[in-house]
Amino acid sequence: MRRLSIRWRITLWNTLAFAVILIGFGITVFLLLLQTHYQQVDRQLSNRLERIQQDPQLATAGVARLETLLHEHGGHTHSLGLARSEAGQWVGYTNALTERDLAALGNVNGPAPVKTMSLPDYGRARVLSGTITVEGEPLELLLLADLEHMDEEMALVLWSLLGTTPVAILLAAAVAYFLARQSLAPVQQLRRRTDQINAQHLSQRLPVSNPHDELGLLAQTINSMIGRLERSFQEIQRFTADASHELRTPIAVIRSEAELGHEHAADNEKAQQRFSSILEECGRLGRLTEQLLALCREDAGVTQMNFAEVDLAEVVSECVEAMRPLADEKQQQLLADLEVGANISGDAQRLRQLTINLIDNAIKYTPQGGQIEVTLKPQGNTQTLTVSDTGIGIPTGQAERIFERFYRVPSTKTQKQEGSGLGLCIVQSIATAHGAPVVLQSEGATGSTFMVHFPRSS
Amino acid sequence: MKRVLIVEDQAKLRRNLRQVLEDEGYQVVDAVSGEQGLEEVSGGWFDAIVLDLSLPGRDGLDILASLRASGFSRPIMILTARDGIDDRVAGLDGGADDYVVKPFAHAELLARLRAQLRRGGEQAATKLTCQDVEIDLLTRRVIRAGNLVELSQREFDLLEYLVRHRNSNVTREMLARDVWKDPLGLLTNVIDVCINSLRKKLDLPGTEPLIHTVRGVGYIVKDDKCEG
Repeated sequence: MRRLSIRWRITLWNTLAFAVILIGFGITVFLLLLQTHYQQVDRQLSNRLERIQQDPQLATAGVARLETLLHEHGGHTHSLGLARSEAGQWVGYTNALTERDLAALGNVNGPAPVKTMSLPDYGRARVLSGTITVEGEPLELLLLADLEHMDEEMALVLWSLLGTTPVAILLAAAVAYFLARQSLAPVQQLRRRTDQINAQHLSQRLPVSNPHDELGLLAQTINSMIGRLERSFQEIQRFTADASHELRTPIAVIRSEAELGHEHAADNEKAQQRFSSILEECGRLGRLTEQLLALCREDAGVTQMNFAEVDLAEVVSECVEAMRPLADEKQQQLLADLEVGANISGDAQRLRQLTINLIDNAIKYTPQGGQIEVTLKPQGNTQTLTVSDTGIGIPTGQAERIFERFYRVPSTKTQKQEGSGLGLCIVQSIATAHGAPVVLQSEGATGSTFMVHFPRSS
Repeated sequence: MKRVLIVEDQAKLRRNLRQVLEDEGYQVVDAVSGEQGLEEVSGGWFDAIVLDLSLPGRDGLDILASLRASGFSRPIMILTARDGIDDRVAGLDGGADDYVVKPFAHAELLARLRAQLRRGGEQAATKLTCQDVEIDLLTRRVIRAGNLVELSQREFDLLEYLVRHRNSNVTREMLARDVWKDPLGLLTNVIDVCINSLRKKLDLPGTEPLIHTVRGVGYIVKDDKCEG
């Protein structure tokens, strides 16, 4: 699974933390409120009980007095009181209770002085029990407080909490996203600027707005890295230029000397042959030097590429026609199937070199009368150049090695080893510079197929 | 007699160039550095200058600019050992007329120098004749010993180039650059093959071979009747 971007992760964690705090806070407030309400009800009930118990007339005035007291202190519906004799007979209860409620209350006994009960008709109630003595007879007094009002209040609180919490969380998420985006925007900008600095613009540096904050430090680190890169690029460029000059000058002298020697030995055939041989090797050495240094530059990515919109079909067709005499010479069929309008962004000269090297390679390793097929077709988002032959193929296990410098396919036949052994290496380095992977398919000795997938220009 | 100035710091190369140019009939003055070259130019008349680009002290491109700034308008040929096309382009943009890349064949330098000195002086011929070969440049038809020879476009260009440079060596590098328009020399294998097929078509029964191979150097078309 793809990992979320930092922006989204910050948003997610912030929102999660906020939600946990908010929900925890809501629950706590609700519970505290509930507890306070109960305490208040309980306090009222016990105050009432105390007053009744301490009434001086109760012991002598009898049940009539008790009813008066109950009436005095609980005239309103949400507060009722009733007493029960030891025999279980109800003494002085308010009319508000039905038989069913009384039956439910009949089960109340035991030491727990306060409990919450649910009466079938009366509803939820808080019940406090205590004992009083009326006319020498001990009675159990039950005082009831109606909880309906409190329940309504608490439900309102609960629904407000449930309603506002998601809205608050959504708002928090939006704020978190906005803040994350705000704080990461300089990073995005840094990335874009860094992207723009490539091999051709290594002298550029990132702007450092505040050298002491995190982003300033990051920009400075990147800058010093670009600096090191620039130095090593310059070194490679200078090295290859110097090496080229230093190697070519002596070759030029040798060639010049050999040419004069060749000319001066006009009457000595053996000497002329020697000079011719030197000249041939000079030519080889010159080409090799050029190719090696070009590879060196390309591997280091310091080659100046002249990228432009290129019609690949045109380039390839030109190369096929230029190479045709070589195939004809070996009586090979050189077929081309090129789809027109294959525009890519590239360096035409380099693409020509890539194509020529691939075709040259195919011709070289295909016997007389073989067949070489060059196709160019769009494939998904790529333009695929395919060069396949009916040649000696690549032995299994060697596929990786053929792109190495100076590697040659080991041949069982005494085949003339032509070429520098750098051709495919150059192909790969040019392809890489164009962001194009090179794929090799080889089925043993039945030939090989090289495919280069060029990204299509948008 | 044409006067040519060679500016080259490499002693052996300078000596050889001097000899090659003198053998060809030029009057040669040489200079070890760009500064010395500029002095020579200010003190005398030259028909052409052969200028190495990598010189000690002021480098070749700099000297080239000074030469052009001082009003020298005759051909300047640069020698470069720098790699890549960029250096050559810089030279041509800087006012050079042509370039040769080290290591080069004497034949190539001579051919290019000759072409530069002849520039504008030659009337456009419509027919070339060499031994028993007639080349009609307008109809692009080739007749050898009275027989019409069918050539591909490339083979025709190749033959025309060889005949224009008759009696002097033509290297593969020259053919790649001038006939195939391939300055990187990617198609040197193709050149040999094309020369062979051209030979097969031209060498009719009873005729002398026209194109000769000079091993290690290139090819030559010889014509005794026509000197130059």
